[in-house]
Amino acid sequence: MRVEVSRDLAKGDLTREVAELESRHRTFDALRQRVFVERCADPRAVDDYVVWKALRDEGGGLEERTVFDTPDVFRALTPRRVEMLEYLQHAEVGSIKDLAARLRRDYKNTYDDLAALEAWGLVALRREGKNQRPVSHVTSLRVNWEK
Amino acid sequence: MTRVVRQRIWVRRDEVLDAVEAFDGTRRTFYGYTYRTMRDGSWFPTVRWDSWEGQDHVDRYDESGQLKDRTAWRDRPLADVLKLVKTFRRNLLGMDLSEL
Repeated sequence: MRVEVSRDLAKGDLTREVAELESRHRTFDALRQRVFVERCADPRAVDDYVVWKALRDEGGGLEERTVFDTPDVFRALTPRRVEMLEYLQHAEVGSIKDLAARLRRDYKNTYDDLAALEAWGLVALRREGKNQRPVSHVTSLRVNWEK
Repeated sequence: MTRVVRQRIWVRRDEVLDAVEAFDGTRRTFYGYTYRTMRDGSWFPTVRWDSWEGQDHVDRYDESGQLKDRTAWRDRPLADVLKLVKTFRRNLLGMDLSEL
């Protein structure tokens, strides 16, 4: 059994991806120097280089997928959390407090649910000033029993 | 025109196989498959199969995530690597990976 999660990357996601690459490696040339000249053995740097190069290429692109090859993920998918994922897919919220207010839930339960979803990579909590802004990483979620 | 597919495959809550593959049309031009395990809230590479600079090889990492050894291996698809990871998991660190 596989649970397959797809996420559509919008232009803003790709801009954010490049900003994150810059914060990790400063510039593309610095990263290239690191992986080619210094022959670094850091897997993340090599993968970052491959992704960044594709994003710089005209017509290049990035697709992102998440697959759960374990039924354990269903422990995280309670009805309330699925509802939360669906809400985040269709609405932008400014903070965890904002989400709690909109769903008419208390802050702690909302935070706990987000933390459980974040542990499986289903949401991200983006630091924005003093707040953490919850963002869904799920556009669709599909269970597949095919061999 | 390069298209990159980045996948995170969860094997367990604290074990993932991160795959990055680059394609030129339908031809796969690069692969990097990293089996990571979580310790103290952080992901550490444990074993990595990749084709960096056209050389198919497999790397093993120590507990602090530093490269321990590197051996050649023959290119296999992601599905085969996932099968290896699911079958042997952390025991991969003590095995002769070039023979798998």
